[in-house]
Amino acid sequence: MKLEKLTLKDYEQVKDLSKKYGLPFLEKNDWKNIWEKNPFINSSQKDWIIGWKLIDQNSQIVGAIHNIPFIFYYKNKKILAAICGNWVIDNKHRSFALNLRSTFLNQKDINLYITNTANEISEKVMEAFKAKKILQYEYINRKVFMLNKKKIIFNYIKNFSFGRNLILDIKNFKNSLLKKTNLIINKDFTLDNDFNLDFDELDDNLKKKEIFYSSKSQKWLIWKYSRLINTDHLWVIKNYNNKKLTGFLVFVISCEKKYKLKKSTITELSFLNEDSFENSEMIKKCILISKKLNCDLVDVVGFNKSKKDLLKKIGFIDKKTTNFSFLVKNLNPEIENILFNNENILDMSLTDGDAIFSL
Amino acid sequence: MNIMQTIDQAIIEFNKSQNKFKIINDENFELIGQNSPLDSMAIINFLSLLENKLFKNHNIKKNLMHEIFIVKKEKLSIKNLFLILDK
Repeated sequence: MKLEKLTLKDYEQVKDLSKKYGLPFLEKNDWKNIWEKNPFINSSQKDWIIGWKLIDQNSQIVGAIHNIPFIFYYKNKKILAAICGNWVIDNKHRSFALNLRSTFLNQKDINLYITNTANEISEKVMEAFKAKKILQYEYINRKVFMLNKKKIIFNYIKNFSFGRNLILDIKNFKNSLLKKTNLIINKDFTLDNDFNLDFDELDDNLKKKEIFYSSKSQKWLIWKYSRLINTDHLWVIKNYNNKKLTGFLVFVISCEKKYKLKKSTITELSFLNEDSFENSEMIKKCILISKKLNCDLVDVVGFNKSKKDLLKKIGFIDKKTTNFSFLVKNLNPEIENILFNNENILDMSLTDGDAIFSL
Repeated sequence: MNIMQTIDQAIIEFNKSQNKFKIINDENFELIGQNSPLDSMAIINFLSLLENKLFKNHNIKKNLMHEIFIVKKEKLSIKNLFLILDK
Protein backbone atom coordinates (compact mmCIF):
# COMPACT_ATOMS: atom_id res chain seq x y z
CA MET A 1 0.00 0.00 0.00
CA LYS A 2 1.43 3.38 -0.99
CA LEU A 3 0.44 6.82 0.24
CA GLU A 4 0.97 9.45 -2.47
CA LYS A 5 -0.01 13.00 -3.33
CA LEU A 6 -3.35 13.27 -5.09
CA THR A 7 -3.32 14.90 -8.54
CA LEU A 8 -6.02 16.40 -10.76
CA LYS A 9 -5.62 13.39 -13.06
CA ASP A 10 -7.08 11.15 -10.34
CA TYR A 11 -10.61 12.55 -10.74
CA GLU A 12 -12.31 9.47 -12.23
CA GLN A 13 -10.89 7.00 -9.72
CA VAL A 14 -11.64 9.17 -6.68
CA LYS A 15 -15.14 9.87 -8.01
CA ASP A 16 -15.84 6.14 -8.52
CA LEU A 17 -14.55 5.29 -5.06
CA SER A 18 -16.57 8.09 -3.42
CA LYS A 19 -19.76 7.16 -5.24
CA LYS A 20 -19.29 3.52 -4.23
CA TYR A 21 -19.54 4.67 -0.62
CA GLY A 22 -22.43 7.06 -1.19
CA LEU A 23 -20.47 10.32 -1.03
CA PRO A 24 -21.67 13.12 -3.29
CA PHE A 25 -19.03 14.14 -5.81
CA LEU A 26 -18.60 17.28 -7.90
CA GLU A 27 -18.55 17.40 -11.69
CA LYS A 28 -15.03 17.25 -13.15
CA ASN A 29 -14.60 20.98 -13.84
CA ASP A 30 -16.08 22.02 -10.48
CA TRP A 31 -13.77 19.57 -8.72
CA LYS A 32 -10.67 20.80 -10.58
CA ASN A 33 -11.66 24.43 -9.94
CA ILE A 34 -11.40 23.85 -6.18
CA TRP A 35 -7.63 24.01 -6.66
CA GLU A 36 -7.09 25.51 -10.12
CA LYS A 37 -9.07 28.63 -9.25
CA ASN A 38 -8.29 28.81 -5.54
CA PRO A 39 -7.16 32.40 -4.76
CA PHE A 40 -4.54 31.26 -2.26
CA ILE A 41 -2.96 28.72 -4.62
CA ASN A 42 -3.00 31.20 -7.49
CA SER A 43 -1.35 33.97 -5.52
CA SER A 44 1.14 31.89 -3.60
CA GLN A 45 4.49 30.84 -4.96
CA LYS A 46 4.43 27.59 -3.03
CA ASP A 47 3.16 24.26 -4.29
CA TRP A 48 -0.03 23.12 -2.60
CA ILE A 49 -0.79 19.42 -2.19
CA ILE A 50 -4.44 18.93 -3.21
CA GLY A 51 -4.82 15.80 -1.11
CA TRP A 52 -3.50 12.29 -0.66
CA LYS A 53 -4.37 8.89 -2.06
CA LEU A 54 -3.75 5.30 -1.05
CA ILE A 55 -2.74 3.01 -3.87
CA ASP A 56 -2.93 -0.78 -3.71
CA GLN A 57 -0.63 -3.32 -5.36
CA ASN A 58 -2.71 -3.13 -8.58
CA SER A 59 -2.10 0.65 -8.78
CA GLN A 60 -5.75 1.35 -7.95
CA ILE A 61 -6.78 4.22 -5.69
CA VAL A 62 -8.38 2.67 -2.61
CA GLY A 63 -8.49 5.75 -0.38
CA ALA A 64 -8.35 9.53 -0.68
CA ILE A 65 -8.62 12.78 1.22
CA HIS A 66 -8.85 16.36 -0.09
CA ASN A 67 -6.78 19.27 1.18
CA ILE A 68 -8.20 22.73 0.39
CA PRO A 69 -6.70 26.09 1.40
CA PHE A 70 -8.97 28.78 2.89
CA ILE A 71 -8.01 32.22 4.16
CA PHE A 72 -9.47 33.49 7.43
CA TYR A 73 -8.98 36.88 9.07
CA TYR A 74 -8.71 37.81 12.69
CA LYS A 75 -7.76 41.30 13.88
CA ASN A 76 -6.60 42.17 10.37
CA LYS A 77 -4.25 39.19 10.26
CA LYS A 78 -4.40 36.62 7.50
CA ILE A 79 -4.64 33.01 8.70
CA LEU A 80 -4.19 30.06 6.36
CA ALA A 81 -6.34 27.01 7.05
CA ALA A 82 -6.34 23.55 5.51
CA ILE A 83 -9.86 22.27 4.91
CA CYS A 84 -10.40 18.55 4.81
CA GLY A 85 -12.85 16.98 2.43
CA ASN A 86 -13.94 13.73 0.87
CA TRP A 87 -12.26 11.29 3.23
CA VAL A 88 -12.99 7.92 1.70
CA ILE A 89 -11.47 4.45 1.94
CA ASP A 90 -12.31 1.10 0.45
CA ASN A 91 -13.64 -1.29 3.08
CA LYS A 92 -10.92 -3.86 2.40
CA HIS A 93 -8.25 -1.36 3.40
CA ARG A 94 -10.09 0.41 6.19
CA SER A 95 -7.25 0.13 8.71
CA PHE A 96 -5.31 2.62 6.54
CA ALA A 97 -7.98 5.33 6.82
CA LEU A 98 -6.18 6.88 9.78
CA ASN A 99 -2.96 7.25 7.78
CA LEU A 100 -4.79 9.56 5.38
CA ARG A 101 -6.32 11.63 8.18
CA SER A 102 -3.02 11.85 10.03
CA THR A 103 -1.18 13.02 6.90
CA PHE A 104 -3.77 15.75 6.42
CA LEU A 105 -3.52 16.85 10.06
CA ASN A 106 0.26 17.05 10.19
CA GLN A 107 1.28 19.36 7.37
CA LYS A 108 4.32 21.58 7.44
CA ASP A 109 3.56 25.30 7.92
CA ILE A 110 -0.18 24.77 8.60
CA ASN A 111 -1.54 25.71 12.00
CA LEU A 112 -5.27 25.44 11.41
CA TYR A 113 -7.17 22.38 10.17
CA ILE A 114 -10.92 22.41 9.64
CA THR A 115 -13.72 20.07 8.74
CA ASN A 116 -17.36 21.12 8.88
CA THR A 117 -18.91 18.01 7.37
CA ALA A 118 -17.80 15.49 9.98
CA ASN A 119 -20.05 12.49 10.46
CA GLU A 120 -20.06 10.54 13.70
CA ILE A 121 -16.93 8.56 12.74
CA SER A 122 -14.83 11.44 11.43
CA GLU A 123 -15.84 13.45 14.51
CA LYS A 124 -14.29 10.76 16.74
CA VAL A 125 -11.26 10.39 14.47
CA MET A 126 -10.59 14.14 14.46
CA GLU A 127 -10.84 14.17 18.26
CA ALA A 128 -8.41 11.26 18.52
CA PHE A 129 -5.90 13.43 16.63
CA LYS A 130 -6.50 16.26 19.14
CA ALA A 131 -8.93 18.28 17.06
CA LYS A 132 -11.79 19.85 19.03
CA LYS A 133 -15.37 20.88 18.49
CA ILE A 134 -15.63 24.64 18.08
CA LEU A 135 -17.32 26.43 20.96
CA GLN A 136 -20.17 28.23 19.27
CA TYR A 137 -23.62 29.03 20.54
CA GLU A 138 -25.99 26.18 19.64
CA TYR A 139 -24.01 25.07 16.59
CA ILE A 140 -25.70 21.67 16.92
CA ASN A 141 -29.10 23.30 16.28
CA ARG A 142 -29.81 24.33 12.74
CA LYS A 143 -32.50 26.98 12.30
CA VAL A 144 -35.41 26.26 10.03
CA PHE A 145 -38.17 28.52 8.72
CA MET A 146 -41.09 26.48 7.46
CA LEU A 147 -42.69 27.78 4.29
CA ASN A 148 -44.70 24.71 3.33
CA LYS A 149 -45.77 23.58 6.79
CA LYS A 150 -48.16 20.85 5.62
CA LYS A 151 -45.50 19.14 3.49
CA ILE A 152 -42.85 19.36 6.21
CA ILE A 153 -45.12 17.92 8.90
CA PHE A 154 -46.31 15.17 6.53
CA ASN A 155 -42.66 14.31 5.77
CA TYR A 156 -41.83 14.33 9.46
CA ILE A 157 -44.59 11.83 10.26
CA LYS A 158 -43.63 9.67 7.27
CA ASN A 159 -39.98 9.51 8.29
CA PHE A 160 -40.46 9.48 12.05
CA SER A 161 -37.86 7.58 14.02
CA PHE A 162 -37.93 6.86 17.73
CA GLY A 163 -34.48 8.34 18.20
CA ARG A 164 -35.97 11.83 17.88
CA ASN A 165 -37.08 14.15 20.61
CA LEU A 166 -40.83 14.03 19.97
CA ILE A 167 -41.78 16.52 22.69
CA LEU A 168 -39.30 19.13 21.46
CA ASP A 169 -40.39 18.61 17.85
CA ILE A 170 -44.09 19.02 18.72
CA LYS A 171 -43.28 22.18 20.71
CA ASN A 172 -41.35 23.56 17.73
CA PHE A 173 -44.11 22.73 15.26
CA LYS A 174 -46.70 24.29 17.58
CA ASN A 175 -44.64 27.47 17.93
CA SER A 176 -44.13 27.70 14.23
CA LEU A 177 -47.81 27.07 13.40
CA LEU A 178 -49.08 29.61 15.92
CA LYS A 179 -46.50 32.29 15.25
CA LYS A 180 -47.56 34.93 12.76
CA THR A 181 -44.44 36.31 11.11
CA ASN A 182 -44.41 39.87 9.93
CA LEU A 183 -42.54 39.78 6.64
CA ILE A 184 -43.09 43.41 5.68
CA ILE A 185 -39.84 45.11 4.75
CA ASN A 186 -39.05 48.78 4.38
CA LYS A 187 -35.72 48.64 2.60
CA ASP A 188 -34.93 48.10 -1.05
CA PHE A 189 -32.11 45.64 -1.45
CA THR A 190 -30.07 44.90 -4.55
CA LEU A 191 -30.37 41.33 -5.80
CA ASP A 192 -27.68 39.53 -7.70
CA ASN A 193 -26.37 36.08 -8.50
CA ASP A 194 -22.74 37.10 -8.68
CA PHE A 195 -20.22 39.05 -6.58
CA ASN A 196 -18.90 42.42 -7.69
CA LEU A 197 -15.88 44.47 -6.60
CA ASP A 198 -17.88 46.13 -3.78
CA PHE A 199 -17.21 43.00 -1.74
CA ASP A 200 -13.51 43.90 -1.54
CA GLU A 201 -14.29 47.13 0.26
CA LEU A 202 -16.72 45.39 2.59
CA ASP A 203 -14.09 42.74 3.32
CA ASP A 204 -11.52 45.45 4.14
CA ASN A 205 -13.96 46.92 6.65
CA LEU A 206 -14.76 43.52 8.17
CA LYS A 207 -11.02 42.98 8.74
CA LYS A 208 -11.03 45.91 11.14
CA LYS A 209 -13.65 44.28 13.36
CA GLU A 210 -12.67 41.86 16.08
CA ILE A 211 -14.18 38.85 14.37
CA PHE A 212 -12.78 35.60 13.03
CA TYR A 213 -14.13 34.96 9.55
CA SER A 214 -13.32 33.48 6.15
CA SER A 215 -12.54 36.07 3.48
CA LYS A 216 -15.52 37.82 1.89
CA SER A 217 -13.48 39.41 -0.89
CA GLN A 218 -14.82 39.13 -4.43
CA LYS A 219 -12.27 36.55 -5.58
CA TRP A 220 -12.87 34.22 -2.62
CA LEU A 221 -16.65 34.42 -2.92
CA ILE A 222 -16.51 33.83 -6.68
CA TRP A 223 -14.30 30.81 -6.06
CA LYS A 224 -16.53 29.34 -3.35
CA TYR A 225 -19.74 29.71 -5.36
CA SER A 226 -18.23 29.31 -8.85
CA ARG A 227 -20.49 26.41 -9.88
CA LEU A 228 -23.61 28.37 -8.84
CA ILE A 229 -22.78 31.85 -10.12
CA ASN A 230 -25.25 33.27 -12.63
CA THR A 231 -27.69 30.45 -12.02
CA ASP A 232 -31.02 30.63 -10.20
CA HIS A 233 -29.51 28.46 -7.44
CA LEU A 234 -27.49 31.36 -6.05
CA TRP A 235 -29.04 34.52 -4.60
CA VAL A 236 -27.14 37.46 -3.18
CA ILE A 237 -29.03 40.14 -1.25
CA LYS A 238 -26.91 43.27 -0.99
CA ASN A 239 -27.50 46.13 1.39
CA TYR A 240 -26.13 49.48 0.22
CA ASN A 241 -25.98 52.64 2.30
CA ASN A 242 -24.75 55.79 0.57
CA LYS A 243 -23.65 53.64 -2.34
CA LYS A 244 -21.45 51.53 -0.08
CA LEU A 245 -22.01 47.84 0.47
CA THR A 246 -22.60 47.49 4.22
CA GLY A 247 -24.01 43.98 4.43
CA PHE A 248 -25.04 40.96 2.41
CA LEU A 249 -26.84 37.66 2.65
CA VAL A 250 -26.28 34.69 0.36
CA PHE A 251 -28.65 31.79 -0.01
CA VAL A 252 -28.46 28.68 -2.15
CA ILE A 253 -31.44 26.78 -3.56
CA SER A 254 -31.17 23.00 -3.53
CA CYS A 255 -33.21 19.83 -3.20
CA GLU A 256 -33.19 17.74 -0.05
CA LYS A 257 -33.27 14.30 -1.68
CA LYS A 258 -34.17 12.22 1.37
CA TYR A 259 -37.29 14.22 2.26
CA LYS A 260 -37.97 15.51 -1.26
CA LEU A 261 -38.02 19.11 -0.05
CA LYS A 262 -36.93 22.18 -1.98
CA LYS A 263 -34.85 24.23 0.38
CA SER A 264 -33.12 27.53 0.56
CA THR A 265 -29.93 27.56 2.66
CA ILE A 266 -28.49 30.79 4.06
CA THR A 267 -24.72 30.44 3.73
CA GLU A 268 -23.50 34.00 4.27
CA LEU A 269 -24.79 36.76 6.52
CA SER A 270 -22.32 39.57 7.09
CA PHE A 271 -22.76 43.20 7.99
CA LEU A 272 -20.80 46.11 9.37
CA ASN A 273 -23.40 47.40 11.80
CA GLU A 274 -24.79 44.76 14.15
CA ASP A 275 -27.65 46.93 15.36
CA SER A 276 -29.07 47.88 11.98
CA PHE A 277 -32.74 46.98 11.35
CA GLU A 278 -31.67 46.10 7.81
CA ASN A 279 -29.99 42.88 9.00
CA SER A 280 -33.29 41.24 9.88
CA GLU A 281 -34.87 42.71 6.75
CA MET A 282 -32.29 40.90 4.60
CA ILE A 283 -33.39 37.65 6.26
CA LYS A 284 -37.05 38.49 5.63
CA LYS A 285 -36.22 39.29 2.00
CA CYS A 286 -34.59 35.87 1.71
CA ILE A 287 -37.77 34.24 3.09
CA LEU A 288 -39.95 36.15 0.63
CA ILE A 289 -37.82 35.18 -2.37
CA SER A 290 -37.62 31.56 -1.20
CA LYS A 291 -41.41 31.53 -0.96
CA LYS A 292 -41.71 32.85 -4.51
CA LEU A 293 -39.32 30.14 -5.66
CA ASN A 294 -41.64 27.53 -4.11
CA CYS A 295 -39.13 26.43 -1.50
CA ASP A 296 -40.51 24.30 1.33
CA LEU A 297 -38.17 25.70 3.94
CA VAL A 298 -35.31 28.08 4.68
CA ASP A 299 -32.41 26.41 6.46
CA VAL A 300 -29.51 27.92 8.41
CA VAL A 301 -26.48 26.18 9.94
CA GLY A 302 -24.22 28.04 12.35
CA PHE A 303 -23.71 31.80 12.91
CA ASN A 304 -23.13 33.59 16.19
CA LYS A 305 -25.62 34.16 19.00
CA SER A 306 -26.78 37.58 17.90
CA LYS A 307 -27.55 36.35 14.38
CA LYS A 308 -29.30 33.27 15.80
CA ASP A 309 -31.40 35.53 18.01
CA LEU A 310 -32.41 37.55 14.94
CA LEU A 311 -33.47 34.36 13.16
CA LYS A 312 -35.45 33.22 16.20
CA LYS A 313 -37.27 36.56 16.42
CA ILE A 314 -38.33 36.23 12.80
CA GLY A 315 -39.80 32.78 13.44
CA PHE A 316 -37.06 30.25 12.73
CA ILE A 317 -37.27 27.12 14.85
CA ASP A 318 -34.51 24.81 16.10
CA LYS A 319 -33.76 21.47 14.53
CA LYS A 320 -31.12 19.44 16.29
CA THR A 321 -28.56 17.84 13.99
CA THR A 322 -27.44 14.25 14.55
CA ASN A 323 -23.82 15.07 15.26
CA PHE A 324 -21.49 18.01 15.73
CA SER A 325 -19.91 18.46 12.33
CA PHE A 326 -17.49 21.37 12.92
CA LEU A 327 -14.09 20.33 14.24
CA VAL A 328 -10.82 22.21 14.31
CA LYS A 329 -7.23 21.37 15.10
CA ASN A 330 -5.55 24.62 15.98
CA LEU A 331 -1.87 25.23 16.68
CA ASN A 332 -2.11 29.04 16.59
CA PRO A 333 -2.34 30.45 20.15
CA GLU A 334 -3.71 33.78 18.88
CA ILE A 335 -7.02 32.24 17.82
CA GLU A 336 -7.32 29.49 20.46
CA ASN A 337 -9.47 31.70 22.65
CA ILE A 338 -11.92 32.74 19.96
CA LEU A 339 -12.35 29.17 18.72
CA PHE A 340 -12.84 27.42 22.02
CA ASN A 341 -13.48 29.83 24.89
CA ASN A 342 -16.43 32.13 24.26
CA GLU A 343 -19.53 30.53 22.81
CA ASN A 344 -21.29 33.80 21.99
CA ILE A 345 -18.67 35.36 19.74
CA LEU A 346 -17.69 32.69 17.22
CA ASP A 347 -19.55 33.05 13.93
CA MET A 348 -18.78 29.97 11.84
CA SER A 349 -21.16 28.52 9.29
CA LEU A 350 -21.31 26.32 6.21
CA THR A 351 -19.15 28.78 4.27
CA ASP A 352 -16.17 28.19 6.56
CA GLY A 353 -15.38 24.65 5.42
CA ASP A 354 -15.92 21.97 2.83
CA ALA A 355 -19.71 21.95 3.38
CA ILE A 356 -19.91 24.85 0.95
CA PHE A 357 -19.02 22.48 -1.90
CA SER A 358 -21.79 19.99 -1.21
CA LEU A 359 -24.84 22.25 -1.27
CA MET B 1 3.63 -5.35 35.57
CA ASN B 2 5.59 -4.87 32.34
CA ILE B 3 4.57 -3.18 29.09
CA MET B 4 3.71 -6.46 27.34
CA GLN B 5 1.35 -7.39 30.16
CA THR B 6 -0.30 -3.98 29.84
CA ILE B 7 -0.81 -4.58 26.10
CA ASP B 8 -2.31 -8.00 26.95
CA GLN B 9 -4.69 -6.35 29.41
CA ALA B 10 -5.77 -3.76 26.83
CA ILE B 11 -6.40 -6.48 24.24
CA ILE B 12 -8.57 -8.50 26.65
CA GLU B 13 -10.54 -5.43 27.64
CA PHE B 14 -10.98 -4.31 24.02
CA ASN B 15 -12.27 -7.74 22.98
CA LYS B 16 -14.69 -7.77 25.89
CA SER B 17 -15.95 -4.24 25.17
CA GLN B 18 -17.53 -5.11 21.80
CA ASN B 19 -18.39 -8.04 19.53
CA LYS B 20 -17.58 -6.60 16.12
CA PHE B 21 -13.78 -6.95 16.15
CA LYS B 22 -11.34 -9.33 17.77
CA ILE B 23 -7.69 -8.59 18.35
CA ILE B 24 -5.70 -11.83 18.50
CA ASN B 25 -2.95 -11.67 21.06
CA ASP B 26 -0.15 -12.64 18.71
CA GLU B 27 2.92 -10.51 18.04
CA ASN B 28 2.33 -10.74 14.27
CA PHE B 29 -1.29 -9.60 14.48
CA GLU B 30 -1.67 -6.51 12.28
CA LEU B 31 -3.43 -3.62 13.94
CA ILE B 32 -2.84 -1.51 10.84
CA GLY B 33 -2.01 -3.09 7.51
CA GLN B 34 -3.18 -5.18 4.60
CA ASN B 35 -4.30 -8.02 6.85
CA SER B 36 -5.84 -5.96 9.62
CA PRO B 37 -9.51 -6.69 10.33
CA LEU B 38 -9.90 -3.41 12.26
CA ASP B 39 -11.50 -0.18 11.09
CA SER B 40 -10.48 3.34 12.14
CA MET B 41 -12.87 3.48 15.11
CA ALA B 42 -11.65 0.13 16.44
CA ILE B 43 -8.02 1.28 16.20
CA ILE B 44 -8.82 4.53 18.00
CA ASN B 45 -10.75 2.72 20.74
CA PHE B 46 -7.97 0.18 21.28
CA LEU B 47 -5.21 2.80 21.38
CA SER B 48 -7.19 4.99 23.74
CA LEU B 49 -7.75 1.99 26.05
CA LEU B 50 -4.04 1.27 25.93
CA GLU B 51 -3.14 4.91 26.67
CA ASN B 52 -5.29 4.78 29.80
CA LYS B 53 -3.70 1.52 30.93
CA LEU B 54 -0.17 2.84 30.35
CA PHE B 55 -0.95 5.78 32.57
CA LYS B 56 -2.63 3.69 35.25
CA ASN B 57 -0.02 0.88 35.35
CA HIS B 58 3.21 2.75 34.56
CA ASN B 59 2.39 6.45 35.00
CA ILE B 60 3.38 6.94 31.36
CA LYS B 61 1.44 9.59 29.45
CA LYS B 62 1.53 8.91 25.71
CA ASN B 63 -0.20 10.30 22.67
CA LEU B 64 -0.23 7.01 20.81
CA MET B 65 -2.20 8.28 17.81
CA HIS B 66 0.49 10.85 17.19
CA GLU B 67 3.45 8.55 17.82
CA ILE B 68 2.13 5.79 15.60
CA PHE B 69 0.86 7.78 12.67
CA ILE B 70 3.68 10.29 12.46
CA VAL B 71 5.94 7.33 11.53
CA LYS B 72 4.44 6.53 8.16
CA LYS B 73 4.82 2.77 8.27
CA GLU B 74 2.85 0.42 6.09
CA LYS B 75 1.87 -1.80 8.94
CA LEU B 76 1.72 -1.91 12.68
CA SER B 77 1.78 -5.28 14.39
CA ILE B 78 1.51 -5.93 18.12
CA LYS B 79 5.26 -6.47 18.12
CA ASN B 80 5.82 -3.05 16.46
CA LEU B 81 3.54 -1.49 19.05
CA PHE B 82 5.54 -3.08 21.88
CA LEU B 83 8.79 -1.74 20.37
CA ILE B 84 7.35 1.79 20.17
CA LEU B 85 6.25 1.63 23.82
CA ASP B 86 9.41 -0.01 25.09
CA LYS B 87 11.72 2.73 23.74
